[in-house]
This record gives sequence, C-alpha cells and structure tokens, in this order.
Amino acid sequence: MTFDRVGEWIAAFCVLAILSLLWKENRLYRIAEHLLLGLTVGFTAAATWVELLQPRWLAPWREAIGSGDIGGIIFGGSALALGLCWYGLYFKKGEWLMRLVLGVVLGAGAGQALRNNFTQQMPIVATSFKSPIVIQEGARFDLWGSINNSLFLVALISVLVYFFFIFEQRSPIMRGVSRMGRFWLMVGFGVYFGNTIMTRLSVLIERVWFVVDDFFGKMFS
Amino acid sequence: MLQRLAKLADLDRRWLYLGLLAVIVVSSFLRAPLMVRMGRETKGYYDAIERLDGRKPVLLESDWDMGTIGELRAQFVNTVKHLFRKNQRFVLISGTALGPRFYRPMMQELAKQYGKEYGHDWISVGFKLPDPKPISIEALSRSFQKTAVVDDYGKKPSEYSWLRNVKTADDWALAITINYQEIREYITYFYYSSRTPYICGIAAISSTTLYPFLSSGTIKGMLVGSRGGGEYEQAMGDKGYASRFLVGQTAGHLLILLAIVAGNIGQFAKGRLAKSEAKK
Repeated sequence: MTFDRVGEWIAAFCVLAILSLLWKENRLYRIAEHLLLGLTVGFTAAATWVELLQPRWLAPWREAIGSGDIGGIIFGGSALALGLCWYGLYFKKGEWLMRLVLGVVLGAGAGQALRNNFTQQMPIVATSFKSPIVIQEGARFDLWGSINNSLFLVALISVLVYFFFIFEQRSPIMRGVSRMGRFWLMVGFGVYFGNTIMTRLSVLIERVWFVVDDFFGKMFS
Repeated sequence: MLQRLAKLADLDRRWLYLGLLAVIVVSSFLRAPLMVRMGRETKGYYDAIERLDGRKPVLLESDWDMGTIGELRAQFVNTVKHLFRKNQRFVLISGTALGPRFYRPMMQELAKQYGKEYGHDWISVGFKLPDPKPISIEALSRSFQKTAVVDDYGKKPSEYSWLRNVKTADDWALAITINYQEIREYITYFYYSSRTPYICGIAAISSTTLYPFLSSGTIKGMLVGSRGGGEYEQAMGDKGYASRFLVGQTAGHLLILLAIVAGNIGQFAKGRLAKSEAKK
C-alpha cells in the first residue's frame, strides 16, 4: 500500500466520521472535527512562517544584520516589536500595547475603506441611471432592453421607498410602492438562499464523490 | 388520505439526508455530462482571457482549499488550461496559507499535460497576501517584487526575464482571483487605478452581491460556483469533471425541490386536519 493510499484511507474515514453527525452527535464526529481543526491551525502556522515571515521578514533582517545595514536592522526590529505588541492582549498591564497596533491597523483600514467605497460603489451608482426606453444603433427600438431597464428602475425605486424612514408612510401609494420594494427584497433574499444551497451541496457532492470514486472505486477495481 | 399526507410535515430529517446521499451516489455513476448554455458572467470571464495577447503576464490569485474544492477546483483547472492554451504567461499567488498546498500538485499535473515549463511559462510565489487583504493588495499593486520577494524555488521574480519589468498594477495584463468570495480591492487598486481588468471565480453563495459590479463593468467576468466551472469547461470544448459535477448538483437540487413541495403539502394537510377536527 502506497503512502497516497494511506492518505486516502484517512481522508475517507474522516469524511464518513464528519457525515455521521447527520445521524446523531457522536464521538467519531468529535474526533474528526478536532483533527481537522488541529491540522488546519498547525498547518496555517507552519505555512505562515515558511512562506511569509521567513522570506519577508527574517531573511532580510538577518541579511541587514550581516551587512551592517542600519536602516534594515531598525526596520526588521520595529516590525518584530510591533508584532509582539499584539500579545499585550494576554497581560492586563500590557493591554495598551495591543491597542497601539490595533489603532494603526484600524486607522489604515478606515482610510482604505473610504477610498474603496468611493471607487467600488460610485460606478454602480452611475450605471443605475438607466433609461426605460432603449434605442439601439440605427434608431432601432430594443424591446427586451427596455423591459429589463424598466423592471430595474421599478425595483430600484420601490426598494429605496421601502427604506424611507424619515416620515410615516401613510399615503396608500407610498405604502403600495413600499410593499412592492419588500417583494423585490424577498426575491433578492431568495436568490441569496438558493446560491447558499448550491454552495453547500457542492461541498457535499465533492466529498461523497471522493469516497465513492476515489476510495471505494479504487478498492473494488 | 389527509392523515397520510400530514405525516410528510413531520418526516424525520434524516430520511432527507439519506435521500440526498443516495441521489449524489447514483449521480456519480452517470457519466453523461449535462449540457449548459454559457451565461453572460462566464462569457465575460472567457472573453477576458481570450482577448489576451501575451505581451504582459497575468496575475492569478488562487485561494481555494478543502472547504471550497467542490466549486472552485474546476474553475481553477479550466482557467490554467485556458492560459496554457493561449500561451499566456502567468504568476500564481495565494491569499491563504492552505492555498498553495492545493494548487501546487494540480499545477504539476497540468504543466505536464500541456508541456509547459516552470519559470518559462508560469511561476508560483505562494502565500504572500495575508490578512488584512486591503493592505496586502495595495502593497501588491505598488510593488510586486517587494510583495512576492521570492518564488517557490527561492528565486527573486526579477531573475525571470519576463517578470523583470513587472512592478506595479500597470504591468499586468489581467488580474484573476479564484476565491470563496470576490476580492474587491482589485477593483480599487488594479482596475480603478491602472485600468488592469479584473475577473473572478467565486462560490455561488458570494455571487449575489457581485452582480452590480458586473453590470457596472468594474468586474469583467465571473465564474459562479460549480455552474460557472461547468459552463467554462464546455466553452473550451471539454466535457470533464466540471460538466459531470452539474449532474450531481442538478439531481440534488431536484430532490430539495421535491422535499420543499412535499413539506408544504404536509403542512397544508396538517392545517386542514386540524380545522376538520376543530369542527367536530
């Protein structure tokens, strides 16, 4: 039996153990769950060191120390000091250290979010201004394009009206439009939920096919 | 009759699980792939790669792992195949620690299949885009060389002649991400700042909120879940795993639809039964 085959046996066992939760809560499921979590955390820590911290921080810092590059030494040392500040969280007296770096990250994040929102949302707002009558090249009336755009505008306006909370919606017209907005929101949530099912089912199909094709298939072939 | 139908409302959910597993197992034996029509999202994705002229390299961020393998592996495999067929050079990068562990063996297999050579046709720089993503991607857009540092073999990207002049977001022909969700920072730092087009392959669950970006043109194309993978595969004239996967997906969806109908009939019958008993 090759090493790969042993891996497949372990994988198949873990898949079946995880799926056993569908029957009821059991120890086999717990074992597989903890195994998965432990492996993921362990692997992520190792990969972060090997692929990220080692080449991007430790190697350049050691190189700077070796060549006596003062700038590089200060840069590497500062990165280490700032990184260690995160662990202030675990000490009551050192909690302020964590807040220090958290502040820097939050500040940078807030600044970027401002720019991101503008660059990402503005083109969407601009393309929302659609004409209900679509005329193609050669002055040809586009019926389907017009229906599409009209539907889009109806949905957009009614949903906006639904979220109009400045005054009470007493007028029957406003209430009707608002109700229509709720309908469109429900359609959107339905699509969202359908896509959620699609994703979850994909995960299940892939694993079940792995057990059927790769594991049992090889065993009986 | 009503009493029998009312039982459907209280059916043990484990029967549904068993039925779903049975349907998926049976679908794995069906070798005939389902034929699908290419949607506009997939067409945009396909066309964006088809338009490449090979003058600049492509940046491909691959973040799929064990949790998203069902939907994203087929998207990744077909994207790489498409790039190889177009003789388009590309750089693989990852934003998750587990990402390279999944794409590396796949790349070895595909490179062998297409006769492509590491270093000449593609390179991998591994996990170089940690969280927070906005900061990582901004750094990548400013300086690829400083963000990547070294590739999988410990060589600097500048040591490869075709990557020597790749520095900022301007120097890429196209940015592609294959991730559980889209990475909107590419819109800001690649498309908005440098007009480098961005396309993405994502899980279906994350796709709904992305359509406005597709309509506005800031995302040029999108592969949505396993459907996107199947459509893309068929657009390239193949009918492999991704197309076969759609059979299992469709069978599962049909069973869920049947269960929804049966559950509603059960609830309806239960209500009628309660009313008739109240009358008595």
